[in-house]
Amino acid sequence: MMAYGIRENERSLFIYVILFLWLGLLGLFGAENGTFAAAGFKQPLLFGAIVSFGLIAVHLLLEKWRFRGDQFLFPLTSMLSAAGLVMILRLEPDYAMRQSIWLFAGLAAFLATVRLLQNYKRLEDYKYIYIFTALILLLATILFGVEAGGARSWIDLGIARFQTSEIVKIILVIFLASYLEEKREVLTEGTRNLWGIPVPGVQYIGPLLVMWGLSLVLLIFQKDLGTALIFFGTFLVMIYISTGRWSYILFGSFLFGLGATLCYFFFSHVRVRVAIWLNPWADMEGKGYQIIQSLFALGSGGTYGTGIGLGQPNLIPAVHTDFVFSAWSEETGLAGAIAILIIYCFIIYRGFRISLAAHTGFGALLAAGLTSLLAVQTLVIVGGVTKLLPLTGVTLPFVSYGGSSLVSSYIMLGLLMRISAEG
Amino acid sequence: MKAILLIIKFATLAIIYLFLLRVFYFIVTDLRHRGNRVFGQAEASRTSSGAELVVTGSNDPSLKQGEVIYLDRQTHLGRGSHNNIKLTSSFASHNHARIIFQDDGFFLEDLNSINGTYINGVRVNESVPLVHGDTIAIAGVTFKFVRWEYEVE
Repeated sequence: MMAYGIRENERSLFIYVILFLWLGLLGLFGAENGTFAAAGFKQPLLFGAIVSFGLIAVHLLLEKWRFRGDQFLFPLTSMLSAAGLVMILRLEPDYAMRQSIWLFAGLAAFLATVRLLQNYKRLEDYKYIYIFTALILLLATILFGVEAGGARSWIDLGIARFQTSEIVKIILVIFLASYLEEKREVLTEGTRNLWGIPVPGVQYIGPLLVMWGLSLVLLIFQKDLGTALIFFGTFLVMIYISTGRWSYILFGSFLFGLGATLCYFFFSHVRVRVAIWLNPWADMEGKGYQIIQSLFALGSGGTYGTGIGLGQPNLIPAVHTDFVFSAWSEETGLAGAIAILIIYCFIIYRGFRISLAAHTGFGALLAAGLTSLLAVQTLVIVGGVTKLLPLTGVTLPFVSYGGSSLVSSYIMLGLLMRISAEG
Repeated sequence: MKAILLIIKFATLAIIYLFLLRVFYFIVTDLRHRGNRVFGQAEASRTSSGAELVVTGSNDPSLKQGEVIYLDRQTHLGRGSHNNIKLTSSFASHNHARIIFQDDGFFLEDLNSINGTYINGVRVNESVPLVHGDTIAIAGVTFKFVRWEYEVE
């Protein structure tokens, strides 16, 4: 068994993931049928077998390719995916099979990124092509997109709906990483002085304004508040990491505040979101219903939860996508919710660790950017469903139902693993 | 039935937390291992590492520009004949300065010279660690400090 040694830690972690998956399925089955008779166990059995097979196969393939990347990220995200799949099977059984197919698509994309992108540094060379593609995708979505859940961010491809912003956000991080790496010195030094503070010339502030504009376009035309927030947040983090200057954060936050305020006064849907956030009880049966149900779910979970399959998270509208975290918290309690958040912390820790170990500035910025993207997205949606922030409909990475989100999350994972293999 | 479900509920949570503990354990050992490795590299490099002074500017006839002086464990600079690097300028003191190797690094010490020793334009009062690329100026002679392991890049 000489070949099986490189990814030993990963394998030992996978035992827990698989155990968790089967225990979760068993608990869910027992809760729904009130008995453990073997007859009705067919569907969860098949489901569990498919998912376990997929995850283990990917691990063995990485082992076979003697891939020397990070060993913790994949088990961590697999744990999230397993939790997500169990919850989706519990919440919307009809969607569960579709989601497991999407999981396979995600895993395939992950393997392709790891395998085909041997030299990720070459991504740096074609940055303007990407950003052009990204802009076209966004434009196409605005013109031909279909609306769902109040946001117009999907393109209908016939067989499946596809959320373009999921791909655009990866492209954007790659673009920003190479752009900032190239222009870092000018952006850090500044070219002229304004009241003693070095300020880069207009041509260098340009990208900041373009990003701000892009986020606003998303906000206005797609009504996609969450994605706009994620784009701009990631951008600010990346520019701070690359230049180390607070002035960008301050200026950027000011611009964002300005944009947000303007939107608040011009668009009713933004006003509604903020009003619900401030006081959902004012319209309990109507607009505040969703967030209130989410809060009830969080509360009724208690410390250890009701047990998978024993709560009533189905009372929350859109529970399987945006509110999967509330459902999870109701059925596994505070303990389960904290566990999920710790998993995200570990992923983010590993991401920044990879960034620090990267050999090139581009690699470091790319890893840091992808990690912050994941972090900001998690913060936005977990903050949203717990009413810490105004609710914006984005997916919880790796957990929520949603094909494009799952696939793009796994591509990001693949890129991170690829960078870690060099470092 | 209820009891079994309760057991499953807590077993599920226990598995997740065991998983997290395991990851945490791996992360900590990884950090420790990495720390050791950096230390080990420093240990190994001691025998092969070294440094030199390159004369970058000189009004002293005995030291020509571009001349390279290898540094030993102790290198004395000054006007006295016992010095490793002999300076002839009258601005140099008899025992002007010395460079010593200590704890993996080279340190520059001024030996109470009258006209002083300057590192990157700043006068040296006590022992100063030398970093690759530092400029040392003594009595009209300037040296560049070069660490070998950096020279390759």
